[in-house]
Amino acid sequence: MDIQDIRSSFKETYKNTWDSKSVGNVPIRVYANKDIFKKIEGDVFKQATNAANLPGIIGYSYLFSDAHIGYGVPVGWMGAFDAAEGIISPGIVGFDINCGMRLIRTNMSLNEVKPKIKELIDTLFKIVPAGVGSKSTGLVPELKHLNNNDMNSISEEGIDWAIRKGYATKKDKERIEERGVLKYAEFSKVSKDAVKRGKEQLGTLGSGNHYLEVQTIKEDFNKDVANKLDLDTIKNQVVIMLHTGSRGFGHQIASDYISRFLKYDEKNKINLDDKQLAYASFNSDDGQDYLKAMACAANFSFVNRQLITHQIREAFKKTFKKSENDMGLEIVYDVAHNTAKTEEHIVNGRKSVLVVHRKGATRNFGPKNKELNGVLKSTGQPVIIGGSMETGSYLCVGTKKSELESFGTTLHGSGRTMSRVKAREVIEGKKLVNELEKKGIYVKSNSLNGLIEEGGAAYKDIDQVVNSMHDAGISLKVLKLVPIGNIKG
Amino acid sequence: MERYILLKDEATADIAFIAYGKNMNQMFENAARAVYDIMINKNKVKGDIPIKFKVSSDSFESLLVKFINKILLYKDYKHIVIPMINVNIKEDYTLYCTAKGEKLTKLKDYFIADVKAVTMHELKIKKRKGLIECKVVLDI
Repeated sequence: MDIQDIRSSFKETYKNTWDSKSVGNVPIRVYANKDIFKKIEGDVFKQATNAANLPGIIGYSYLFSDAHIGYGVPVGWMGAFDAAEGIISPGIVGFDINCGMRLIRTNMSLNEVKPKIKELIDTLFKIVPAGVGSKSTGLVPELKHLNNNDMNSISEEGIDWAIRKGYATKKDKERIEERGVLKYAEFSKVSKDAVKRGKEQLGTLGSGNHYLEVQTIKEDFNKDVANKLDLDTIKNQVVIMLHTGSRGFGHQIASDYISRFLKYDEKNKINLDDKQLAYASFNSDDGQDYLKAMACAANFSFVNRQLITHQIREAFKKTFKKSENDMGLEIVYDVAHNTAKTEEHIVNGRKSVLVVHRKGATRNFGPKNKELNGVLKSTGQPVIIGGSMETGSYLCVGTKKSELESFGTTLHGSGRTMSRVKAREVIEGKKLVNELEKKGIYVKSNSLNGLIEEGGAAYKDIDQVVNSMHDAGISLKVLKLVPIGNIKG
Repeated sequence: MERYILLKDEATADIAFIAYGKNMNQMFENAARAVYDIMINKNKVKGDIPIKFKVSSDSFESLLVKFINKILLYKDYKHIVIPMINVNIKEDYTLYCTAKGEKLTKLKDYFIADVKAVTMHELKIKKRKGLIECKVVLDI
């Protein structure tokens, strides 16, 4: 199908909501303002079209305002598949299974933290392992001697393992998507190579676009919701944002199952537009095995972010010589953006079980959703949108409209506009560091190149990207957050 | 002949390259070198840890994926990167590799990016102008 033909078929059916003609089993829907919509690369539509042709896809092949070219499907994409008739695809979920965001609040103000920001970031950099080949530090003694039984427990129990070991509280658990454990995880479905890679990397940040950032609130768009989440309760409140995933454990599980699914597709004479889209029927043995292995990686990732949270709490204690309680270091929310999960949604007026694939897309449930508890029942699910270290990030909340329109899904970040290779050519490292310093952002990174690749110029304008979803009524802005310190791998 | 080229207008969030070789063995070796150079900014590293492994598959494309995955396993599990590599691919798609690796700790000042995985996206081995080439997209 001609991409120009597809592009010209889009009509704006509601504010920032663009629907194409049918491009396979379903049309494409894009959530974006006119400016972002015009700039979406042709290959994004090509990839969304390939996905629209997959069996059992329901509604639309969805693109969010942060969408950009990925492998297999774009990043910033969601597809929901009928659990009875549809498929599951490890290539769509991608290699960093349950890559996700976590936001942690503090009781501290910018005035208190800023004078010690260098000491804090240096301490965090020392304590939180980051970068290629980084290993866990001594703050989590269990990590030195992880054996297969431990990996089994981590994979199947998720955050409950961390609670048992004293690295998480029951309160933490209540603020994590799925309460930190996908219960259908089955460790026997994970390869030995995945265990080898995972054991070495638990409790580490990684590199690429993974980061840990100390931020402050720049703008409050919804004080009622912010206050209910214990945010913007003091002037210039400081928060911490964390972005990382399942590390080598998830990467290996994805590689193993893509290879296995390609054989499944060959055996079943399935022609793929792109081999990265290798899939199996959801209810097949292969499909179910992947679901169980993927859940292990998702649980590992929840634990990974939890162990880093433990390291963050220790770094704060060390720097400010205060107790965790005094500093109010509590999780606001932890949310995944690379998963395939079974969820119940309304399709044509009936409750249906769908396999919701989110690739660079965030679950976004509205108020009163049965999956939410406590204060989240009234605020809606927090959605954490990580931006570049230069331009800031957002906290949003989900809406009922999103549940009805986009199977409770929204964007995940600001979205790249420039490849890493091009960023190395265009962005000057020293200039970038100077500019960050001028803005009062103290950055520690293992690699100047890594920093360059993540420069603000490589990303879309996050304000436009987030406003696109807000104005479409899908996820609503609560806070804009700006960095004061950042650690990159 | 260039060993590989990095593609600046593709793979927005990741890194794509095309590896070249006068034969299949050389193309695989050059793809491995691209993976090393993407991660480590230090050319003249010989490596002193002997490495030997074998991987098998049922096509050259899937063999290349398995081969790069094996290199990534060394990086994540043994903390070794592989700057120097020799491969010998047999007709039954079995690859025998002998290489020299270097401990990551010795190269920590030269890290650029971590490669998470090799994707199947648009991966196709072609013959062109007397050379064998393959486009590879790496997840970063």
